[in-house]
Amino acid sequence: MKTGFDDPDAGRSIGRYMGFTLREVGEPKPGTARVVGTAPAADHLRAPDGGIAMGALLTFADSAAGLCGGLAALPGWVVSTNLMLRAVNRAVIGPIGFEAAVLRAGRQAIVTSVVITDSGANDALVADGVLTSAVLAPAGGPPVYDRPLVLAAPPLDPEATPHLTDFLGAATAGADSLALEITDQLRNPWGILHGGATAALVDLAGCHATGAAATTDCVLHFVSPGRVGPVTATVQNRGRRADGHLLRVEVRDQGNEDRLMAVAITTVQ
Amino acid sequence: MTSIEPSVPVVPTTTAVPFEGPYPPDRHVLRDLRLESEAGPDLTARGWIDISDALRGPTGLAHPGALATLVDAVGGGLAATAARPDWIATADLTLHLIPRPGISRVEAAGRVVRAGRTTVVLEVDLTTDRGVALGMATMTFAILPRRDGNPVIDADGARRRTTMAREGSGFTQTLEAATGLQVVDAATGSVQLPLTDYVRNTLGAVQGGMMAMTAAVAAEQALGVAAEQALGTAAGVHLDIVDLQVTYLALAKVGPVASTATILDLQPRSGTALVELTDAGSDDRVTTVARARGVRT
Repeated sequence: MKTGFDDPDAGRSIGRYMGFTLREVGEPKPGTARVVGTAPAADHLRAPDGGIAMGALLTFADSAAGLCGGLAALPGWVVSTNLMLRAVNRAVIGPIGFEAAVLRAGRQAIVTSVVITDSGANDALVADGVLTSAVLAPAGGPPVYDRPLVLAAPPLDPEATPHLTDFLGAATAGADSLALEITDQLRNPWGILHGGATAALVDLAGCHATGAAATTDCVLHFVSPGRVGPVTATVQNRGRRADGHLLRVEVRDQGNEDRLMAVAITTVQ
Repeated sequence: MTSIEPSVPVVPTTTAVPFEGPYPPDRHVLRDLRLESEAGPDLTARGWIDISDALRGPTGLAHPGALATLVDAVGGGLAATAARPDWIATADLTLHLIPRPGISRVEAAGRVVRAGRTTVVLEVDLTTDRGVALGMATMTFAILPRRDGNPVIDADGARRRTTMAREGSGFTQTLEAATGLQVVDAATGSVQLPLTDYVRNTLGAVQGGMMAMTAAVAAEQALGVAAEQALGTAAGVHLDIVDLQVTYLALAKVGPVASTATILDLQPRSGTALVELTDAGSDDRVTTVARARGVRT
């Protein structure tokens, strides 16, 4: 697999757009890691109800926990396989803080916890989740980082920063589906669609199909990489309960023989 | 191998070893659930359990632990077939339920979403005996190198239905009582599940569905107390667990399994708890983490 690991800048577009800084904490040790981060609670990351979009929270979680898992997997690196996140309170003052830590590091998989908090509200809990990643061996070797690692994002210009929906290029593909193109800015260092972009598309598609304001809970299984595009997220509404609609969302890479990329179970309200 | 009576006191047992005889043993939760299942050559499988009064909660909903165990059993059989000749261990299980009180039978229909070199991912749809959607589940299984003692999965292409039930199988008391699960402190979600043959898996550790049940009960207890305090009532408040996100970190091989729950969120009609399960007999090793959401139905 051709990757961008020889270019330390590759796959960082989403991090820059989100404006988050990630920092490795503690002495680097094989098989474990802890990563903390911060990001502004910017307007371009907010959902129509004013809260931070679940797509943004999922991207923070995927990025922080993914980096944490990757550092623990060195000299291998990781790809996300399963992201579970429950949003508790998206009405964030900001800035947003997040912390990821390794729960289990195996030879083939790394399990990482992630906690997202509101630094502007006494570190009140915003979301809580777990990322599981598969350990792979990059063809060109692992990324080379100075340790402890710091990935800093440049300051954002609010006037020139598009809203998340526009950044993703998410467009209506039907009453129950949204689609996006896999542009270079949406690729991760592996050269495939960033897991956060997939997660954000799932969030937007669920709200689009049901008219709901936001996703509150997401279980997302990444089953194959998005390489070609367009990528379509199609929603099935499985039922209603007191806390919202229960949805199944299927994500496919139409340009790659309509290959199944991801399956998500979400709750929207 | 010993069998237990349902009312045995909670006691730690010896270190887990894989079953040498047929699995499950005569007295086992899968038999009392009267689990029926069938699998075909197309990597799909179905399973059924009856929901007797003993498996219903105070609001009439099916016990989430029973449903998680059904999902784990159907998914496990399917994943083992997909992973042949290797064996599998449950890595995660999620369960999302639509509250339907008073149902008498549940069908679980599973299908493989991805069968890779190291993992098998599958989905399970749950429906009532009237074909009404009851919820969805997903599971990930890690593929393990085959070891002596792992069951042999026959897959000759024929679709046939089998039952775990034996004469006399079935619940005469709650799932908690049958498994020996005890509530130590409801407010902190502290419960204990002994490791007995009744709840073991093929590897000799606590079965994945039983770990999910323990997490569900721990969350239900803690959320109930928290809601009671928030509402200022001593009348008792019950939140039904409708979502479970369970991540298995290590096998619980010694027991008892002990839980603690932290309330993440509490609203007038819902709440979320984070549950940690440890193997008390194995230096309190963290074996499982789970997030559980409860709603007042």
